[in-house]
Amino acid sequence: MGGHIEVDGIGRDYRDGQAKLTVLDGVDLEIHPNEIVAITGPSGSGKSTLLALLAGLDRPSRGRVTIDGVTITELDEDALSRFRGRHIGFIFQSFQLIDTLTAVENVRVPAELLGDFERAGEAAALLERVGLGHRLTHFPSQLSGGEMQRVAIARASIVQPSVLLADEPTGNLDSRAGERVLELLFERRDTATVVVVTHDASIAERADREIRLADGRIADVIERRAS
Amino acid sequence: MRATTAIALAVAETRRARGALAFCIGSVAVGVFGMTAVGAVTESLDAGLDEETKAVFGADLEISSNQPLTTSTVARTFTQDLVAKGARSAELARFYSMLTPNAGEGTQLVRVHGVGDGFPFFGEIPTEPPGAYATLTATPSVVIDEVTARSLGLEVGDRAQLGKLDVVVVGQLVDKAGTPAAEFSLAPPIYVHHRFLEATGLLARGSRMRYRRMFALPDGLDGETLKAEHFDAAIAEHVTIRTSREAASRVRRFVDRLGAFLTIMGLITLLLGALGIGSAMNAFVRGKLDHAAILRCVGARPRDVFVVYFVLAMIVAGVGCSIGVVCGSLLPAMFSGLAESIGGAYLPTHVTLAPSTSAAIRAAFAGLLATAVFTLQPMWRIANVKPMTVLRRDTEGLGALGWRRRITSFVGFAVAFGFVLLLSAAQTASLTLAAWFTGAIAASVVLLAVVAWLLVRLSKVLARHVPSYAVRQGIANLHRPGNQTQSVVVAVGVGFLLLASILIIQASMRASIAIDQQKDLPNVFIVDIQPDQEAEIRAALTALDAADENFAPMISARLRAVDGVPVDKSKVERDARQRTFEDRMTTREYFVTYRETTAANEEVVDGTFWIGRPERQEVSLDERLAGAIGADIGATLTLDVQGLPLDATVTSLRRIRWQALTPNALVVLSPGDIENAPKMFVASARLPSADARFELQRRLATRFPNLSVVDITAAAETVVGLLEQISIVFTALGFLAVVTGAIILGGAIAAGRARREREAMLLKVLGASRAALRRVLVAEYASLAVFGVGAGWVLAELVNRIALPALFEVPAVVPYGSLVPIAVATVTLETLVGALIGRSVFAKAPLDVLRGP
Repeated sequence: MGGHIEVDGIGRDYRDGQAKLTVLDGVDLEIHPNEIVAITGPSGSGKSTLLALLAGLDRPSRGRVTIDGVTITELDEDALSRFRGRHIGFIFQSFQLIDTLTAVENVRVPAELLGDFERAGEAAALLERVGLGHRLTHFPSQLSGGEMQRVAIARASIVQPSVLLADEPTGNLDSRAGERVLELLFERRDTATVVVVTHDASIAERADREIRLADGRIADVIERRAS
Repeated sequence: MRATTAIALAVAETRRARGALAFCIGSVAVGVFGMTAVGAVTESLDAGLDEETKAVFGADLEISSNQPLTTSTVARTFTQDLVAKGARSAELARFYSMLTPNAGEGTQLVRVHGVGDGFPFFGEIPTEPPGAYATLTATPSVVIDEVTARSLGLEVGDRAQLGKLDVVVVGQLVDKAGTPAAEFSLAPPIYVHHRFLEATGLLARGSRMRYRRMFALPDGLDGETLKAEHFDAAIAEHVTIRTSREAASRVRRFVDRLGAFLTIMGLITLLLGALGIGSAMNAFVRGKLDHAAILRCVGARPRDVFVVYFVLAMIVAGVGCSIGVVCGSLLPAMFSGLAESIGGAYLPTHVTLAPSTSAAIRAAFAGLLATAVFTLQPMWRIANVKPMTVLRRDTEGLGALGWRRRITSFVGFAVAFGFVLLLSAAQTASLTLAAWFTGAIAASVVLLAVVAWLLVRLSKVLARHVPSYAVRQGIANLHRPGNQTQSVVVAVGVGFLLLASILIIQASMRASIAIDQQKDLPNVFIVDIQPDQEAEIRAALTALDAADENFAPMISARLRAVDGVPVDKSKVERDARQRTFEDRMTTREYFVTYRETTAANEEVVDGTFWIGRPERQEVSLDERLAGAIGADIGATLTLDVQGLPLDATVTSLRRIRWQALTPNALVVLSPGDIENAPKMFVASARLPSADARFELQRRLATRFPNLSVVDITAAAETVVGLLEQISIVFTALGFLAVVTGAIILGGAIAAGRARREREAMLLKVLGASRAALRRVLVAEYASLAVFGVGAGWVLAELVNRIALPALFEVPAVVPYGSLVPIAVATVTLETLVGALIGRSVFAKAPLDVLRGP
């Protein structure tokens, strides 16, 4: 079952010396379970910041984020880490694999951190499913970009999170590899809510809903299909 | 998080970082190696003393006095008590005299041991030919040692004069260690039977006689208990009771102090190692921030990240400790013969250098603990990395910012210095020493950091005017964020500071002891001059063109009371090994002197020294003695001058410069009634040549055999020999510290290699040649080394130029002849290490590096 995300008036300011820079302001949003949402907008519009706030990677300056009834913006650091580990999977544009771990070790990490060794044991099977059964013991530096992103998807899925967040997941890939990654990502909608930040209009078009940001605010919401 | 996960992640982090981690391991290994080896050496010295002290003592118990024991009630009672309980006893006497061969030239100051039947009760006194010692009772004969045999050309069967007694040399001592002949003395020992002492004629006039009675106790009788029963009565009669455990107490105190200093040196190498791993880990974790951030993103809590990297640090420390412990334990075993070369030859017992399990465990534990403390800060920082770092590289990855970081740095330093204090207190068993040590380390680190900071800042300004691009860029690299410049310069600086200080202290001490090169110091000392001998000795000195003659009357006296309050001897430490300066000052017999003015080798620090012959009896005290007995200006001191009380008012306190080698005394009285007390004279003089000193010894030994004529040049050579042997260990540890500095530099470079590679490749893309890149790197490493060595040198000169005159009244002598080549070698070594570690920069293709992970 996918996660239910509620965003209530969140904003994020940064300090640049004495100056205050508001990158996100007054964003209200509700994302339904198993929905696929694309967040689009020009550079600097606050897309990645919004995604980081949804994942609990960053703290908002104001407002709150609730996932499946848990207001994650009110959790302390440890509880937030735990919540993130159990409920949220994250896929980065630059893959963010740990280069000293093999592919299978990278995938196992989130489950092992939770002490869920049964799930950790499924890492190899998960890599098989994304077509990397022959690359289990390869290090990230021995993989292509598309392969690394598939490892990242497997890692994000290992604990079967209710929310999958992806930041430009195909941004560093060629079109063929990108297509394969998107397939794998969107397959996860059966078990998770998927939120993708993208510049790519073709990806946005495949989402249930597109949320366009501009200057840190929601400029437009385009419903593509009913969730 | 499960332990297995933490270990697996930590082990994974060692992949591709083994070069950098090798330096962390090396840092810890060198530190633990130093500490293990030092611990093994000090424990070997202690073990040698523990095992053989009974054999050195030759008995279970001793009662001794400066007066014949027959005159002491406690000695009689004690002896009767022990003999009634079945103890065996033997009479001994010890004094100094001159030995002159009947044929041939020369004379030699010797320490005469008059030994009674039965002694030694334990062990033996081995001689060549064997058994010669046992024949001493038969005829007037002596057993001499190798030094006397060599200097006087005496062989077995030759005859010599000991006072008025004609003696035959029946044997020569062999392997004195572990026998009663081994006690350290500036004069070599000779043995004669006790029953011939009277015939030497020396007992009547010698004032420096020690009368001893030795006991062997039957089973079931405990020497400590017997001593405790008679201790108070004995101390009241100025009689000393010692058990075999207290044998060689001076040597033991010396060994204890030597051990403490060695331990401190070992600690310094350990702390340098800890600083090394702290610095290398700091650089290492900076390169691992992205990993930590990823872990945070996938659900790791800050404490999980902390545990992973802490486990990593402990794995590294564990490997380093193991290597250090193995090498540190192997060293003493491999170089067991080294004991003789590091002062063991001067010890009364055999020393076998052997590995020490307890020292190894202590060092390993200290190594792990030091690593934990010194890597705490980088661990804390990486644990608090923000997960957001994975999305935004420009996010401040390190958790604390601004004042919070300053506070954590401060707390980190406080914890580190607290640890140093605790560790040094545990190692040296002295909180005072530990506090001084910690303070000195803290001050050195702070001063080095300041000097390093100034040098680096200065270089930034100066580099702008350097025409060479490579040098400019190399120096600019020192200011690169996360470059560990400060800690590397401090580490290299501490190493060089230590080595330079050892060499400066060594050179200064050697210069202060080199009597022959100091034209204003006397080179002959004559002790035990009786009043009727004074004129003739003055004449002999004049005939030999002696200069700076200085005669001082000496009267033996004891302290009886201060301001009418009898000296409290009840608190005197019973164990001679543990006695403090205060204990010794309240129980010892002083040689007091009298004169009308101050002497050249002293300075009045409080009150006024009399001039001439004041009406009332005045006394001037050594300032440290005054402190120990609690006598201030105006206090009334009651002395026991050979049984008669003498009251004197303290009117001045003096600081004596003993290094001037002219006679002086802790207690100086104004002239008056004291002049009538039985006395002897001590004289010092400077004779123009070794031949003149030899001639003086020859003349006086024949004419006045009771005298001790000490050629200070020869005595100084013995001290210099001992100091030089001991300094081998200190110098070796100093070099170890310099090597640690090089390892730390290598570690910092290896840890920051990835960033360096990217920079170098950028320069390459922009057109820099490999040669130019090499010059940039060499300039950077050479600058680091020069700044470290420079800072260490500046501080070493500064500290020693202030401390040596203040603490030891010795002017600092900087041995530039040896320091300059060592500094050049250190800079070269560190530059080479840097260039070697950094060479991978040239091996990579620009695209490999710039494309990134």
